[in-house]
Amino acid sequence: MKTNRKKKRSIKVKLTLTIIPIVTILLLILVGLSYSISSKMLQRDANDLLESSVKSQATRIESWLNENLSAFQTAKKTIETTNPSLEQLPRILDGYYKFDSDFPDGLFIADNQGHFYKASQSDIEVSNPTSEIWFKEGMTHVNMAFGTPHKQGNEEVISASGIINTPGDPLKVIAGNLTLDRVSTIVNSFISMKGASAFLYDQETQKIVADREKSFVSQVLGQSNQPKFYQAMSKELKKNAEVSLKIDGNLAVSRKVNGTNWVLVSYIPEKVILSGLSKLRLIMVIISVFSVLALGILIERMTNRVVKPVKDMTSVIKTMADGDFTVSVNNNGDDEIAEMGHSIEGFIQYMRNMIQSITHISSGLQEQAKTSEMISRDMYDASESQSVSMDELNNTVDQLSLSVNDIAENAMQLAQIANDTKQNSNLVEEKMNETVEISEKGRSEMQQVVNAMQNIQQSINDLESSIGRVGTASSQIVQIIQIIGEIAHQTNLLSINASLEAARAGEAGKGFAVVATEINKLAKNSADSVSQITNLISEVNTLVEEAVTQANHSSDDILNSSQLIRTAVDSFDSIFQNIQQTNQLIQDVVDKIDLVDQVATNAAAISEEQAASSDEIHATSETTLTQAKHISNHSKNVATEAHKLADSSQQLANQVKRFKV
Amino acid sequence: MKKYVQIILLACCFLFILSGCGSSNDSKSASGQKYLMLVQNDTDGFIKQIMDAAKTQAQNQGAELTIKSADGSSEVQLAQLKQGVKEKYDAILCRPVDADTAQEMEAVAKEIPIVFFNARPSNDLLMPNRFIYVGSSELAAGKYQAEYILEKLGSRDEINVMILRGENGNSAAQERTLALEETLKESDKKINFVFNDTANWDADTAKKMVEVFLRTKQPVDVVACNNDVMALGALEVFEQNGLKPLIVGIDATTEAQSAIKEDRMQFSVLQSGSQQGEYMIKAANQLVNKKRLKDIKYANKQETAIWVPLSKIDKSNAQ
Repeated sequence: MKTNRKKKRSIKVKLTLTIIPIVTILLLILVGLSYSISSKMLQRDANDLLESSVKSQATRIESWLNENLSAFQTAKKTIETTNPSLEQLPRILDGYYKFDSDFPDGLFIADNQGHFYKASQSDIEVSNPTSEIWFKEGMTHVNMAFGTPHKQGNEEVISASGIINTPGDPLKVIAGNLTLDRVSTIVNSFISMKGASAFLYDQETQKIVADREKSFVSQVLGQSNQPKFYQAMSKELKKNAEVSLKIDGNLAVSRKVNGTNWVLVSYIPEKVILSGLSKLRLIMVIISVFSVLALGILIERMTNRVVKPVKDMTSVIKTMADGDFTVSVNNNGDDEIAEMGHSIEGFIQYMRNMIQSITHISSGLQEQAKTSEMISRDMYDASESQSVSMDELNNTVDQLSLSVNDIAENAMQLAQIANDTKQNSNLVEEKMNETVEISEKGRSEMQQVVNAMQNIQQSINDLESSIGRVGTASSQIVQIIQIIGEIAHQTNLLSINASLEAARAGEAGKGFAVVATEINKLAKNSADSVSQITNLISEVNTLVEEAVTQANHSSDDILNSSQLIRTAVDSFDSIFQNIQQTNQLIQDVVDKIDLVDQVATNAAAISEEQAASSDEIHATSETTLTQAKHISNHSKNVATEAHKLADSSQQLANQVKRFKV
Repeated sequence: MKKYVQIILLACCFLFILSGCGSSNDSKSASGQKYLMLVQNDTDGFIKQIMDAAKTQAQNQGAELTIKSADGSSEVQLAQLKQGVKEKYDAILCRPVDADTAQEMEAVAKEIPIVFFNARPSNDLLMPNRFIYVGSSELAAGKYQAEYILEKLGSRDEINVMILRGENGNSAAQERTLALEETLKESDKKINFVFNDTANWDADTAKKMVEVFLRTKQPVDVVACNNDVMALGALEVFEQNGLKPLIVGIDATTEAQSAIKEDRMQFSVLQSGSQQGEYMIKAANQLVNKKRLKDIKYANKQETAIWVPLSKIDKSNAQ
């Protein structure tokens, strides 16, 4: 605020600083213009005045000269008319001595024979009249005329001379002298312009004929002892006899004097012309200064009057700035400032209304903020509890996952067992194959027996008994085979059971283990049966050997027995076929076990997929949990913001309270 | 404040319109114009020549020309002028009886332009495009004389010159003499002015002057006279005395021209009266129509005069 106040300039100062310089400049321009215009006018007027002065001066000089000339002319005429004798001549000339103040010496006459006549009292001395300038000049005209300046005795003079026109010799010339002193006096006393000076200049000889300064008279114009102006003027006059110009600080005008070779030069210093103007300028400057001062005071008074209501208004505005809108503006007047007051009054009214409505709105806002804070708190609580629930859900899914994994493991074990079973049944098959091989061998050996039967016919009786034993043995074999068939049957049933168990693997894998043992037992039984069969067959072999021995004893018996053996071979073939069928059955069992194995494997795979699924469920519930946590954080933030909003609206309410309405 | 400015502006416009109207109304064609010609006397040969030419030119332009003679009286002439102003002539053509009365004439004429001729008022009485002079340059006449002398006597180192002037104070006489003297002095020759006096334009006076001069027994090579009348007077005396200096005059009068043809006199300068008359009317028309003088041939720079050219007359072209 303080720095601002430093920069602030009052309207008064501004107006003064603007108007005063402008007015001053305008006044200066006015003074300058009027000075230059009036100086030009004055100079022109002065020039005109000087010209007319010179003209009249020249005319007066001319008429003065003519006056003298006509005086001379009259005297000459008298002489010419009277034509006096030489004796009479001096008396006549005496009459002109001191006759006129301009030519006090009067007239004098010379003839071409060297005679000279003058007034008796005159002190002019002439030794050789015909060589005198005036005589020579006089010889060139009859009418009296002035010649060039010359020295007569000690004095600078001009002579008027002329031939006396009388018949008879000698030819006489009459002359009269005018001193240049006299001419100078005349020239300068004819100046009609105040302050002007003049000099007379002879064009023929370039000499000064008349000047106030005596020392210049008869000097050549433009010599170094003369003022600069004379030197400049001499150059101008050589170019042109009649000039009117400004030269070396002087206005100068020159005019020829008619009837002579003379040029009258009149000049006046510019200072003299412009002296009155300088006074005028001084007066104008003083008036200007006074008017500027008066203007300053006027501005001061006026701005005071104009600014007063503005000041009042400023104080009102300041009060308003402090928040007090209870003030009002005093309005009387019809100018722009009064209009401004009206506007401010309106503004105050408007502000009052506005502040009131703001107060209203801010309190409503505060309430709303509080409500929203509460809501957000509730939301936070809810999301928090959601988060807890989700946690629990997550744990449950974890447990589920564990169970599924167990199932998978069990299924795996089942598959392993099935596999083992398969290997065992493979072993069975191998053994069966061996059995088949052996039985085949047995068959071929039977063939040998047959062949031996043919060779040994002696022990056919023995053979018959042995063959009877072989018959019982073979019936026993039949029984065993039946047992094997039962076993196969039971195995079949078990396998069905096992498959069913496997189907229900979800509930318990334990049942299957029992079935597996059963199958194992059955396999053992079948192995035992096979070994019994082997034993029986070895008994049969022994019996056959006994029969062979008996055959040795009785070849007859052999022949009888050979039929039996053939039957035995046929039975053997049937046995063989049965064994092969058994083998086939075992093969089937193995296949079934394979199926069991496959199913168990599938079950394991399925339960693994289940485990994966339960993992996914777990992950999902994990994400959900995180989300729930986010929600709870956000709702926490919302609650904070709502709180802040409540604070702000509280502040707004406080601010608005500052205004007085 | 605004009102004042408006009023001033309106006033300016009004004045401008008025002045514009004024000037446009003044333009007239030459036909129908009335000119008044005032002469000092109508018997002078040269003036007659001018009058005749002016009449012809006025007729050609369709203007009306009235001629009045003052018979040598300035007062009569002024009265005639006043009458002419009353009768609202468009322009005055004036050969003043006395050139010094020009100022009074101008005062009487007021707005009516005056064309002076044959006798020239002093320079400061002439006003551009209003009070003007139509004539031939007296200076040129004097200069032509000097040039002729210098040409004729070109072989001489020293020339003895006798001058016979017109009336003292007469501007024509003064200018003719001045130009003659100046031109001679400017040459590289020694010029002796053995006689230099006025003979008042008069033959008898000239004779007397020559008689007196002869008594001075000075040598003379040339006699230069301000006019032919004086030249012929001087010629007579010189012939009586058996002398034959060069004799030069001005005006180329009939007598002078025959003397030149006979080689008794050598040179003169002819002012064309008919051309002066013609240009006077042309100038008058120009002034009445408020046009500039500079559009007319031979007008001077200041537009105060029309200098009708002179012709040199010697044996080769004398009539």
